[in-house]
Amino acid sequence: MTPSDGPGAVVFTDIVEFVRYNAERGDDAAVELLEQQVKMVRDLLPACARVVKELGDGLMIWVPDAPAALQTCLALQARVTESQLGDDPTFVRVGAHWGSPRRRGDDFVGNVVNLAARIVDLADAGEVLVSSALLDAAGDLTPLNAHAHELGPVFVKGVPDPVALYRVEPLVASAR
Amino acid sequence: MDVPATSTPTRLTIAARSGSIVVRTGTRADVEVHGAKVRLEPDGSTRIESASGNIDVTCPDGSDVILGTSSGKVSLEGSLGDVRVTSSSGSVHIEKVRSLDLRLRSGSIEVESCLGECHVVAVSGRIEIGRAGRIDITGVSGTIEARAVAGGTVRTTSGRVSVGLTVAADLEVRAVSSSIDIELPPGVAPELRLKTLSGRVKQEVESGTDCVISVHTVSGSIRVQ
Repeated sequence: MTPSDGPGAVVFTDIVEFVRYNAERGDDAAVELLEQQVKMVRDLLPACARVVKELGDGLMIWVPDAPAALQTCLALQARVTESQLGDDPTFVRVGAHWGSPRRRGDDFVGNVVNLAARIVDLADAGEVLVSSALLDAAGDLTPLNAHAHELGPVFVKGVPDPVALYRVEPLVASAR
Repeated sequence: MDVPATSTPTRLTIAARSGSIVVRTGTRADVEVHGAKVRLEPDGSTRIESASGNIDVTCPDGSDVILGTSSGKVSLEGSLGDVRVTSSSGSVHIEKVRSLDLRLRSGSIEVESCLGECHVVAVSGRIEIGRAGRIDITGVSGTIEARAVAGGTVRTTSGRVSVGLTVAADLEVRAVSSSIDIELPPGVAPELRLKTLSGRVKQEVESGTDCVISVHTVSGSIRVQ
């Protein structure tokens, strides 16, 4: 059996419209954009967290602390909005789930990873979408100055029961 | 099954893996459900669950609906409140809602009227919005048509995009390979930021400062009229 590191948040990020950006700006600009994303994420990660791997225009991140995971996701969105990756309005979508995936070398595998990947697919530009498991583990969002907005029961391929998903936003942006 | 009358309008949460789902509204105080298990939640909302089969729900006008399904046809008829729908595949038809958050991986979407914000995330399939407030649409492939809306954002990869504005409101459209048509109300003079790398740009309105129309596509024509 492969080891588990205990519970943690598996976070996926994805640059929205990366194909358009690449087509308009060329390969050099696309590579530069990816490098900016990695640097931005690494600067924001708490000491306990790490980038597990790069996946095309996205990243898989491991954060073994639920409030820190949410804080990192929100900070990433805020930083992208503030600084704008590249010189064109760029957005990142973020999806996250909480659980105990199996470790395989430096990588993680298992249902927790699969579900987190499905969640980011449902996220829109600028959004942080998370499972109820991550929200429950995080507890009170007041210290994060954040708000969770229920998206509803979501059926995910390979998961028998619907998963409750939430959009997490800074309180000032929770009007939607 | 009938759920006892509650204060109207109410809130429904529907979770159904497959099968068609019809929710219709009427001038009634109770919720009537056929084809699914029903339970009243402590907060007064109604939870409706089904693994498969067709579901038919009748509820008070203005009710909020949160609906999750994997596949099947979804039809929301009548006048609803704030609506959130998530589905993997199938068609979604919505008659009239106060606000909408709709996420669909594949299938067609038709929204006749959304009074407030209309937020749609889809991967493939046609998206058709009749009248809406501000739109926020992210698609990947498939035609996107929003006939009478109050500005917003559209992002997609391929497929024709057509947006008609009812007021002078900012609109941003970004695409990879799409022909994009924007129609403005008479007399509106927008600031135009139009860019296509390989396609024609046709501007049939006077420039001004009433609103900002920003359209970027890599390949495909742009027309603003």
